[in-house]
Amino acid sequence: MEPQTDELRWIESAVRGNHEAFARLVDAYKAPVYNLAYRMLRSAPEAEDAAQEIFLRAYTKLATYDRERKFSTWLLSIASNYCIDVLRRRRATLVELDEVAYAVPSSAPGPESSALDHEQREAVARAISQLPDTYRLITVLRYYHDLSYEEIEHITNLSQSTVKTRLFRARRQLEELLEAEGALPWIAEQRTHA
Amino acid sequence: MDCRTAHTRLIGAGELQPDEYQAHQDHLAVCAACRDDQDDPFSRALVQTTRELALPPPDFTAKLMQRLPAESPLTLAQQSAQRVQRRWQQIGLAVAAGLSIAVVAGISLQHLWAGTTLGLAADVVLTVAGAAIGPLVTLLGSAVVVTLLLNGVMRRPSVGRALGSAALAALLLLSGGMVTAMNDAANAAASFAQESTIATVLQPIRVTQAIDGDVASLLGTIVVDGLVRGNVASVAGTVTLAPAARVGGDVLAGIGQIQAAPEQVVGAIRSSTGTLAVGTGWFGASGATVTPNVVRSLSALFGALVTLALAGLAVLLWPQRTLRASHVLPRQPWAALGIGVLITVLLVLLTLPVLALLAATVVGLLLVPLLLLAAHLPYVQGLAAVGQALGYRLTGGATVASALWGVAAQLIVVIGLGIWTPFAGLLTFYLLASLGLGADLLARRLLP
Repeated sequence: MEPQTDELRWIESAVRGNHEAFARLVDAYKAPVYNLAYRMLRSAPEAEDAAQEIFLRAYTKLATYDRERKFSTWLLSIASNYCIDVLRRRRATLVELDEVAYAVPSSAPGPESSALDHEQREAVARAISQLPDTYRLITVLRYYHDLSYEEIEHITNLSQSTVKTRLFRARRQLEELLEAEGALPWIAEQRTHA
Repeated sequence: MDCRTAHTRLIGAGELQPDEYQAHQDHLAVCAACRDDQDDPFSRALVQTTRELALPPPDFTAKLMQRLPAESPLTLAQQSAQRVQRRWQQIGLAVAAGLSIAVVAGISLQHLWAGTTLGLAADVVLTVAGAAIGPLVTLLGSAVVVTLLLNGVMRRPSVGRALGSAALAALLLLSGGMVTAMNDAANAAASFAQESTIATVLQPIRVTQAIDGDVASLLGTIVVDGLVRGNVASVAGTVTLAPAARVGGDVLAGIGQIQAAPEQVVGAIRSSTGTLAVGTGWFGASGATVTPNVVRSLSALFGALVTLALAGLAVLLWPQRTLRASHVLPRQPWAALGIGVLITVLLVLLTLPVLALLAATVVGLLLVPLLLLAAHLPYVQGLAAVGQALGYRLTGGATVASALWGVAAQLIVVIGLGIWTPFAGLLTFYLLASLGLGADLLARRLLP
């Protein structure tokens, strides 16, 4: 059976209250949702809480899901909105409490699996975590989630030209951040290979 | 091929087989994002370092399942819709209470502001609003009618719904007819009988006999060629007193000129333009005659073409916004109409006094068309949203062209009604546009 047909069947069943069907949807999409939350919120415990909330919201709104849209796009748009809301609330709290230290990305090891280029991945992840929220969201959707401009447009409700401009600016900011961290020699090496 | 595969191949392009290479090239031809990555070496480095997703803990799903509500999403959606409905009922009651308090307070304070510009605006608005209760009741009735009509058109068709829609369409026509009949009756009364009060909307009044009460018109000119024992008031229309005419009360004009001599009026002559013109005014006496049908039809056609162009522009500039509103429309037509009509009513209540105040100065008068244009822009977007939803039903596609078909279909109905009776056309236009406006606002809240 086609994966998409399976997915639609799970959705139909979950809408009528079948928790097992919803659990299948969760299993299928928990990695991208958690990853987006982790990249946006920069903390594993917060990402887990956020991902749980995102799926709870998806469950309560499941009856309004438009079958003509891609389920993944719909789910990631809920996730994006939720993460942006959390970041806004967090910023308000930070200003209130004057605890700027929270804004510094955590140096605790993340849940990625280790590999030879672990250090390079960490450097890029750290640089991405320092981007402004809106730039970070688009960068994560494009590079970690491999989404096209059109899909990012549907998720963020921004125009394609805005998505393109923000992604271009995000890349340039990332270059500057990586240069400041001394990670650019490795990037330059990539360029010579290219 | 999707972007994920393209990214994987981007960082290992040398190992591609000929068919894989071709598929990759085909994807690049249609995907601007992958083309941009292909052209930028830094993007390749980014692609290479972002291949692994952060994974949630193993017990993630189990923990989530424990927190899931016992009710199904379907039940939750119904409960949410009921909550929204209750909230709007409460808002409606609060607005009604607020308006009642405002009216009572306004009447109580009226004697304090007599003689001021604000007092003039209040006098005109209150006189016309008092006389316009009938049309307002018709407006609310028609709001219900249009919602049911659109509900019938947009949801899955059935014989019952089709019959219901036809009956409701007939009711809408009748409601427009009622207003026309009321206007005609008012004019007849003005000519032949001693009625207590005469009031019209969008129709000129010519008084040729004696009237005991007031004469008021919203968006219509008033010509007095007889005796009015009460007040004569007009909003957005001229008031002309023929040489033999006499008025026992005041003569008021919200936005528009008064042509009268002081000795013809027992009370005050007050115009928001601040001038008293004796003899030929800006609009002349021709304003008192009914506009010929041909001119009215041509004006309606021109207006419709401009609206179609503006709505087309809205669809082109904000395609996602229009689509989202059109998704919400068939699902929550009542809420969309409620929100849209409420905003329209509030906008009218806010705009009328502002217009009256603006018209008090020459500079302000020049700003009036700009204000009116700005106030109508959200309605063009609303019309586009309804057009997109109707276009989907008509053509089966959600494209710019189908949206334009939908907008055109609405305008044909509006023009058809407008030629028959202008009030029904205007009413339908604002109801449809308000419906779309409400859906647009709902879409921002409901759709993620």
